[in-house]
Amino acid sequence: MISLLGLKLGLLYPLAIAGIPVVLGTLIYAYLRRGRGNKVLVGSTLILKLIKSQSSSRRKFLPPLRFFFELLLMLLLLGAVGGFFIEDNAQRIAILIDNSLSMAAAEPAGAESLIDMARARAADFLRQLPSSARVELFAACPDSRSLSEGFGGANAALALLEEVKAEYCSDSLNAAARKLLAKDDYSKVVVLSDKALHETSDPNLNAKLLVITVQHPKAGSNLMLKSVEVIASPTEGSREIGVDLVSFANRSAQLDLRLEGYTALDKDEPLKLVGARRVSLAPGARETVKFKDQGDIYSAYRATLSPVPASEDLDQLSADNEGYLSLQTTKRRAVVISDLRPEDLGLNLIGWMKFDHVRPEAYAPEVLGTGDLLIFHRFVPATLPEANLLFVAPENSTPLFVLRNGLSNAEITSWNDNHPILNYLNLTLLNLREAKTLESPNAEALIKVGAGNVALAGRQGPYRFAVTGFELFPFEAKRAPTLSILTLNLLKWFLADSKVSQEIVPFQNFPVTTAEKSLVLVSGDRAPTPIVNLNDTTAAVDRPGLIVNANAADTDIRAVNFSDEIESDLRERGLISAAGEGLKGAARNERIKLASKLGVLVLLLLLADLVVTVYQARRISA
Amino acid sequence: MLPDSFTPDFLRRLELVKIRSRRAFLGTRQGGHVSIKRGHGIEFADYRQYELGDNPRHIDWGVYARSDRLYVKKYQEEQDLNIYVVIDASASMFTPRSDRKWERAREIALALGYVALLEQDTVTVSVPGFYNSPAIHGGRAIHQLGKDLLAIEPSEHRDFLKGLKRAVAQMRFPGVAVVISDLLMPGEELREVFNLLRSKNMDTTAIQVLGPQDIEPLPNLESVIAVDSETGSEIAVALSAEAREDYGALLQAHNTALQEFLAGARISYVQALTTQDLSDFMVNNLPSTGLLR
Repeated sequence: MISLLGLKLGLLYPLAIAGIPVVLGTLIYAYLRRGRGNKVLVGSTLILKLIKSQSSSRRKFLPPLRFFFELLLMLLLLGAVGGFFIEDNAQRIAILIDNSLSMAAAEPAGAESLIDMARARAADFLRQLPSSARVELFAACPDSRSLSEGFGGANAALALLEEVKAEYCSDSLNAAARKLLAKDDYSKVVVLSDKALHETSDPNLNAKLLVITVQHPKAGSNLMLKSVEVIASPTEGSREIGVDLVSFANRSAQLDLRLEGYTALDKDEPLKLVGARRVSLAPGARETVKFKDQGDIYSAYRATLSPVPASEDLDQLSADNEGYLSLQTTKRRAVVISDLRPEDLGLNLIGWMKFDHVRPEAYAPEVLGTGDLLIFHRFVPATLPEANLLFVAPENSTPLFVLRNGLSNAEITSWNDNHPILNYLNLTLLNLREAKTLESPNAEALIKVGAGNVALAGRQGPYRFAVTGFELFPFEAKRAPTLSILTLNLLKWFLADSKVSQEIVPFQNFPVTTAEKSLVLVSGDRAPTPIVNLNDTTAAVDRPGLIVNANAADTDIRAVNFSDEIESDLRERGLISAAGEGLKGAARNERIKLASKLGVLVLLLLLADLVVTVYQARRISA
Repeated sequence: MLPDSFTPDFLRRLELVKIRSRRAFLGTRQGGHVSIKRGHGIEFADYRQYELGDNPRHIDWGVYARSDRLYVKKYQEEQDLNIYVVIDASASMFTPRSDRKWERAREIALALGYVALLEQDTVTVSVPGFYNSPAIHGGRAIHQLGKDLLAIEPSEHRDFLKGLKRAVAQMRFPGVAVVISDLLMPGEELREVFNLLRSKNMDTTAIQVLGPQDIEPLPNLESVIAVDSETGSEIAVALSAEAREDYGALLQAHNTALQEFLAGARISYVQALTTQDLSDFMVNNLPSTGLLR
């Protein structure tokens, strides 16, 4: 490899260099030979002989320009055969670290976690990079984000690695990796994860991808506390507290389960033991352990599990060993105004929401009650109430939007993939049998077909509204994934800043009022920590716990839980489709292979030469 | 049979010129040129004393009246002139055919023959290696001569020098010799050719016939292997613009050396380009050598 003008040039097959003298010699010989030309009969060579003896240019071999042109062609061909490449000094590397909850797994518990291993491997990688490499560091969750906020040196990325820690979140690693791969900003995307990553259908993108596996040598094993919920007893009319347990362990396990109640009266020790059980779980078993509800004493509960004995390898992920329940937590409520019942629309499959039904003929503002959302299905009221409004396949225009053309078998041409309603969606797969185009000056276009918009979303005062010009229901979950994800995204978007939100997951923005400026998070064994508001109306927390108002005991208590079986199940992570080259190989500079380009260049030069030759021949003959 | 270029107009123009020799030669027959032989010509040459047997009609009575002696007038006899035309028919005269050097040489030879035969001269045409005509007389013989020359086609390489020597050996009487050739041969050979003619006491004129490719060789070609049409020797040449300039200068130098030699040998020289009009050459260029008047 040689350096020329700051570029490193080389050949994949360096033996091709041996061809240079061969090519040069052959060309000179051929040129001399060709220089002798064809035999032409002349009357007498008497004078020509004298020319030869006086032609110094021929004796000294001062070739004409064409010789150099042909030499260039030969060298280009040699370069193509030898696999000529330019080493890209300034690699632009994106490092995406999976920091979802599963990366907190450690074997034995408390030892080096997967995220520690990922950081170490990333550090190894960064140290091997040339100083000219530019690196941008990403954390996969929540919502794949850049930690370095742009390119920086490898040392800067090394310093930022310490900030990467496992969080209470699920990753969307494939989506995040593909998003990075699709950008031309990065010459290589390095993903460090414990999960399988699917290759893309584009081999060029796959070539940019390097997956670095972080796994413990032994198969994963984990015990999970999935949820804490209120169970109404049909016989006694009383309530029980149910704790759902799942074993992802590789053998039978015994665990101690504790239920603690929250009392706002004792701020120094707000959690009091309510009950404890020892439970045996077979591998793969699911069990619900019930405790008697003491709702008159406690307004919230915390459940924790711990393996017995404290096995080193049975419960590798301790972060999913707790769950919280606020007895004041209510399901979110939506009212569906439709000829069809919510069950007919498949909405009963969405368990985290309560859907009440009002028939269009019975519609009146007073029968709606309070709720997070009104869903108008194929129906538009004469006057619009002040609430969050979702219109599905409306049949008339409203002051919020105007219906335009009806379409059949419309193909979606574009969509606003930056809008949260369209997260994780690939709408090219969606075929709209019937749709109507919509227009609204106050709404943002979500989905477009050739004739116009078919989905809009916007705000009307403090409330949100969205319209789909096509049928969204029935909700069929996995059987219609695109529409189902769109439905769930719509519901989440409506409830994102709902004032009555009670069920919260880490990193989810929840609304706060001015009276709740003193919210604290009661989490685990740590002292209650104040919650820093994002702004005047929203806040977020990064771990499960209970959100309480430190200054008002009677305020709503909101439980923050994180539960994702995919993150907690450490048993089978699948084979990771790591690229063939190892860490060391990946740290090498990017080689920009130019063999095919050289071949094309030679062809173009030959073509140009042919055109010039034909042109000259025509001119001479003319 | 004469070539097509011998139009009636051209023939009429040829009839206006005559062959001239710089010296008087002894002829073989009565002709139109003053001979070195004293006799019954019309041009006075000298007096001599009357001898018995002289024709009394030749006595100059005026001289007798003044000197009282009998003298008779002597006249230079007018005899024919032996014209030897040697045409080079070596391969170089046929190469390239587009230059038509052979055809032009043949036309010049026939034109000279036509002029000579009209003047009752004796013409011998020799194409060394191919053809030797007998001594021919009379204007009608030109047609046979033309037929014979038109029949000559290039064949295998012939040794021009050897053929020329043989032709020169057959020249029994001195006279006017005309060599028509491209004269693109080494200086030694040229000297040998012309010295042979000098040794025969010929009044020699050299006509160098050159074609376009003798002036500018191998147009539109850059690098070639030139094959000599006579020797078959090959030579690789790169005809760049510079080389072409060199060629022109070298050809000029060759011709200059040739002319210097010929001038020293009292041999007239003229160049005939095949691109030039034949009539123009015969009427305007050739008389400048003194061969025609």
